[in-house]
Amino acid sequence: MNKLFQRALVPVDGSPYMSGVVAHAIAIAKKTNCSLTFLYVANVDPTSSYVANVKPATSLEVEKQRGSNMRIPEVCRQKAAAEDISASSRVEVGSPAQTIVELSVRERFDLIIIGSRGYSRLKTLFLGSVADEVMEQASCPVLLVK
Amino acid sequence: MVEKILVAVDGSETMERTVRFSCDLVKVLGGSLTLIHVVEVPVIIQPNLMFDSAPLTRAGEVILQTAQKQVEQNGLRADTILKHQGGNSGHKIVSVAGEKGFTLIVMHAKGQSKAASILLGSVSHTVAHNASCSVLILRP
Repeated sequence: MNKLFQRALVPVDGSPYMSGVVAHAIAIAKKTNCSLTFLYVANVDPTSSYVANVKPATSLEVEKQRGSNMRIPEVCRQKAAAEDISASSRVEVGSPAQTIVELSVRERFDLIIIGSRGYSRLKTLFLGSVADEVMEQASCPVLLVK
Repeated sequence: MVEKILVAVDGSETMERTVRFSCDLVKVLGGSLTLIHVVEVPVIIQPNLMFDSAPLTRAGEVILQTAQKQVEQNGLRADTILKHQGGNSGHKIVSVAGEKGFTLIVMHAKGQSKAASILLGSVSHTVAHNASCSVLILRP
């Protein structure tokens, strides 16, 4: 029987919602034998930084962001590896949604597992926009973890 | 956790793939399959205008039977749910999933949305945004 999924891409961002997504991804990998790639995207898109912070990102800020967050996918990878799952971690630089979708196409991932952050609450409405954009643009199946 | 999977079917050309995928999914994940079809009843502005939804209801029953037969051909079984909703059927899918404690909604990104420019149909968009359980959006 063909494997349902071969390779799943799991974007992680260090938010409090992330652990649920990671646990979900591990559970799916256990059952389907797919590999997991945990991805952190350091956001350097000047417009989105501008909107979020009301000032453009400087290269220094980007470096700071990368420094503290670039270990996130590696922490997730270790968690998965501890449960005997084939996992890798990587950090990319760019606009999050676009980078996630482009990577999934370029490297032929057949599933994206992404957390949604309570769309219904206004406070988190904009944070959830990455999941929203990925869902709209992806060319492979997307599992939106609530 | 035992998966309770709700599969949205609309009789469009993507339905067969959606059902096949859902069968493969339940074989791997375990749990149960339920097929749902929501008849979209036009929202009628003039109250004295009667709309006969019977033909749409019958069509919906046929859609569910077709999908159910396909599930059985895969050696599985599935319950079916037929509902009516004025306007976007996504809201009904979300409320059924919430009321009956489904853990996952499976649906195709486009379903009946025909325009090539639409990447995510309005129903899947509504479900993805409003469901309180996880949602698996299939493509292409």
